[in-house]
Amino acid sequence: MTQPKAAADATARDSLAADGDAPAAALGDVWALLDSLPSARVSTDLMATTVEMAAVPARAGGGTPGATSGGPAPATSVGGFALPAWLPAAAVVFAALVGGLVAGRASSPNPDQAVLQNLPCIEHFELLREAGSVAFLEEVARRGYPAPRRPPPARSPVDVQADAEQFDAAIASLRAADVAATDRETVAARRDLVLRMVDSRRRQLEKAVESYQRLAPSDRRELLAVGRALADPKREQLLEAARRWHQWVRMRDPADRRDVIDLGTEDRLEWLDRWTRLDANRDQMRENMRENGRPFFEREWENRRRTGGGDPRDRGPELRPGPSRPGPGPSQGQGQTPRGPGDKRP
Amino acid sequence: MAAESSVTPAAADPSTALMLRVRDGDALAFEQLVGLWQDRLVTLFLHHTGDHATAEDLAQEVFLRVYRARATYQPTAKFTTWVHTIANNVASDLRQRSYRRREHGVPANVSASSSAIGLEQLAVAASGMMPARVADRTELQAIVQQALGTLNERQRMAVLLAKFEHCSYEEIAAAMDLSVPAVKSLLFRARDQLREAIAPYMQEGRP
Repeated sequence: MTQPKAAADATARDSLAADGDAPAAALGDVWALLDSLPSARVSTDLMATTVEMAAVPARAGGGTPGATSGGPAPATSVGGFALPAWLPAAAVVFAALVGGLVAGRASSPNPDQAVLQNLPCIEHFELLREAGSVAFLEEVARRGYPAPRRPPPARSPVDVQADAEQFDAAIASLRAADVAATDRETVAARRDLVLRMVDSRRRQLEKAVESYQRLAPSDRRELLAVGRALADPKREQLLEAARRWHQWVRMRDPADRRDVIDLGTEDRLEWLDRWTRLDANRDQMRENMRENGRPFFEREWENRRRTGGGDPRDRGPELRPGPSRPGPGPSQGQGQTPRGPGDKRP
Repeated sequence: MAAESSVTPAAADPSTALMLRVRDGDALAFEQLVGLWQDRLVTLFLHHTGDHATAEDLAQEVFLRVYRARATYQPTAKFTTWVHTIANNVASDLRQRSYRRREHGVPANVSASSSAIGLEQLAVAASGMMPARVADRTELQAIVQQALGTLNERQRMAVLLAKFEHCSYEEIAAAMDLSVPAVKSLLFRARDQLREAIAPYMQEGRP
């Protein structure tokens, strides 16, 4: 097919497809080429591993078993009678159901026991998730990263102060709650607390619980360990590390913070190394640029003017240091427009 | 309640019926659902990522998300649309992870790099692979797969949903959370880009 013909066909098909035809019309001749792509050959154990992976969290969470099915189960013998192998399991499930019903009636509504046992940490999910892991905080403390030299962009000192106070308040609240306590009285008190919560706070807690439950078991353990570490007054150095990391995370735009928080320990440390280095270099660069309180490029222009080289700002934007500013500068306001690629001026 | 659900039009779809059984705690139904969908999902992700192991991981992630959300599943729409939405989200998450890794200076994984083939590189590869006038099927597969790799993630997903899942514009739009005109536009641009990418092959292999 020649190119002009293909282009004409494409135009025709575009107009056809724009009228609401199927995607096949939109893709035109490319559609047929895609037929050459093969179907995937799925590994033989994919189904088994998928079903097993689904089953594990379900069992751990006390939910419906993910999947177990198969051929006839072997029989088991009790007191000389042959019983189906599923009978003990069925008895356990039945007992659990009865137990659940009894417990449910005794304390309805009944927030999840595991959630109540870890309520202080789950309430501060975002803070603890941001802190990451104990290993990470220990490494931050060991490396002794400096605080950011400037406040976060587009934030006033008042905002920064409010943020620091919020962080301190969260830590104080974490410490006030007995994080490690899981005895019945404590859990009952926490249940009452949840039931008395105002709607907004309860919704916030529900979101935190959802996020917590989405974590892998190892991540949950890590989160709880961080909670216990930060609540421990004997581990102030970890709290300082968490505060320092918090300050650095807040330097990023809100949209980017989640990405930084989701990094693993090594990547976080790399990120901190890079940003602390950049921060330090920026100050050094600024310092290098100044002499007698003036930026170096001002001196450069002055020298050039003195030696007859003219003002470099008149030679085009590429010689101008720093970001270009909107509107005419001190030597630009003479009716000249910025030069574009088609500009034939000498 | 199950009986009430089963009379909705969506429940007439076999996958939807299976999902309703999964929701009600039928473990065997989940196995059947995986069996019904695994080839389709792995194929979709294979052509999306260009890597078989990644494709299986992503398909597995889709099944796990389906399973986790079983309690809240409502057959208000076809199961197919629901699972395509999840598949698109999973692919999108992969893109985010690869982006983050690149952003933070961590080497990207195979799947992410497979989509970053430049047109020039592709043209060279294609012409190098085409010494004869007629390419065999394997070469054609490789070229088309590479051409797919030149599309951006959303274009690629739209093309794959259309081609391999036989989705209509409306279904693609629902799965990708886009408007129908946006899907059309994605597909037009995808077609043009695929043509451009495959052009060296067309010229060399079929004058």
